[in-house]
Amino acid sequence: MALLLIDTAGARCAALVRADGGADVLRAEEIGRGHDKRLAAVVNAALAEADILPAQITRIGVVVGPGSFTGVRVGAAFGRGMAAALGIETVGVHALDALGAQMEAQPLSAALHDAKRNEVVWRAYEHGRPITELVTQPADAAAAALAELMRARAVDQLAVAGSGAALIEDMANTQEGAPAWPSMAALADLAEKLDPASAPAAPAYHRPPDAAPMKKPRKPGGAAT
Amino acid sequence: MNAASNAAQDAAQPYPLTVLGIESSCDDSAAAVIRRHPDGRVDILSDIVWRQNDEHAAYGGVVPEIAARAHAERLDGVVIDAMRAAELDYDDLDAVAATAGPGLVGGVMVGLMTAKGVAVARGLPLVAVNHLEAHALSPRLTETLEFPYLALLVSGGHTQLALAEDVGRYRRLGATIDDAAGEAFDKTAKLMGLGNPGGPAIEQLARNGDPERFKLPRPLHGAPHCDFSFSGLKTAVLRAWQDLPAPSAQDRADMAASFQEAVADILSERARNAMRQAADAGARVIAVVGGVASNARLRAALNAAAANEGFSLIAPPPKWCTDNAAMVALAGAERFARGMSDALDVAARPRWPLDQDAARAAPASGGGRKGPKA
Repeated sequence: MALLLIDTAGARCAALVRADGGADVLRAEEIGRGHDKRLAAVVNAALAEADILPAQITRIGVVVGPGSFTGVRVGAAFGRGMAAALGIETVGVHALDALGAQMEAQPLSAALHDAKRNEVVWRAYEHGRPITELVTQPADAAAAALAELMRARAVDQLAVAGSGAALIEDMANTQEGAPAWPSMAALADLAEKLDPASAPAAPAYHRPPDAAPMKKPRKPGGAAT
Repeated sequence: MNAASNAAQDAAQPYPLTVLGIESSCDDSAAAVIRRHPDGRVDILSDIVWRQNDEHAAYGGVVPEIAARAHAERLDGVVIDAMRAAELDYDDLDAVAATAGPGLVGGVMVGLMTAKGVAVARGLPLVAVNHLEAHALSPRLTETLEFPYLALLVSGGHTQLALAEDVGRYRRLGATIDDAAGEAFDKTAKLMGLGNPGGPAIEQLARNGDPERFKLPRPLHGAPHCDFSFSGLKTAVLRAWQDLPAPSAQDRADMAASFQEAVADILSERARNAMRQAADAGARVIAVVGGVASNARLRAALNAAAANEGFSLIAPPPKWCTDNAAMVALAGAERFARGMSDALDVAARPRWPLDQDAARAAPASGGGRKGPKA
């Protein structure tokens, strides 16, 4: 068994190889953008250092979001292209779920991603297991929803993590739980556990495409000014 | 001129090359496998296209982000289907080729990254293909066509005339200075309430129409060069259409026919100028390629113009005129045979003129940060 994990969702362009009986091999570059140009070299370097041939890979995990539309597509397309050519399975890992898993000691936690425009993508976890859907909403609405969740569960401590955690920091009873982005090891742990059937390597955009449908179809003969 | 003879091609490619091609530059997710023989014969072993028309229908045109998302959802499946249909294993491939531009860059990137994934997985060479070169070479999928030849490339995004001197070597003779011919078809179809893409709808409607009913302009008519302009025609169609208070079925057919006739006139007149220049370079064949090349009226007009100039016209079957991955695989095979392949850091390009020197020196259209289109 050998897992290849790819993360191109954020500023980092990273690949991790985890093979039976070997230590994790990680190659990561903080590049900001241009993952499409660097990714193949980063993957090849990680495989070479791990002394693993592509044909020995049994599963490819891809970080599907949250992140830049282009970034998540680059990683997913590359991972799925490799998997197609190797006849192996792919699995999509959500970075917030990996953050949640990193907080599994906590009875109640939330991972939040700063989705810009004062919105967050968030999900709540109980001992690392998701207990809500992934939601995109204004930061204050997320804070209110989390406060309600704490009341309902009668807990006064909420561990938070992710780049969006700062946006709800004025919320009562929060505490620092984990970093802004999960470690590659945490993402790989999740990639090993997930069922490919329920976690496809499909980008998670969390926003509809910026496109407005035509107001009304133009009728033949109608004025088109 | 350095006309590439069959003998030269034999030397360049001593054995058959089998190539997987991937295309995702607009709204078609496509993959194909071809085998090119040393004598230039091509076997198209598979050809899978997933069209996205439904995804874009509500928007009246192709939405780049929607296209990119759709490619990311299904391109790997299209590749798997193409390999299965070809009844080949990846070990049977000599190279993997993908369109690397020009086009909607989000989608191009999905195809290029898929190809890079295949290349890394199987240790295959990668060939980054210029979509315009793939169109220019597409007649060689089904025809014996030797260099040099004149290519008239007419599609939704591009309209240009280029002398194809060899694989990887094209000389721009003319290009549109504003809209592409396919864009004019699409915009006219949208104006008339027809669907997208507009070309087939207009051609269908034009069958029962009078091409002389509406007097539409032929921009740049009589000019000695080979450049095109379609924006004036587009405006004239809009005005003529607005002058019809309640267009009847016959009005609609007549408008479609008059518009189509104008486009055919413009293209064939410019092509005639280009044939005269290309003849000096030793070309005797004009190949019409790209989506608009499937228009039967255009083919007839070009055929007549070619006959007058002592040229023969080659027009690939409509299936190979519209975007497809077989032409990408062929361009990949032809480049690979000449020792051209690409490093895995090759980037997707929104703009990528066929004749880069001419586009840099005197852009026919486009510019700024993205660079010239042609």
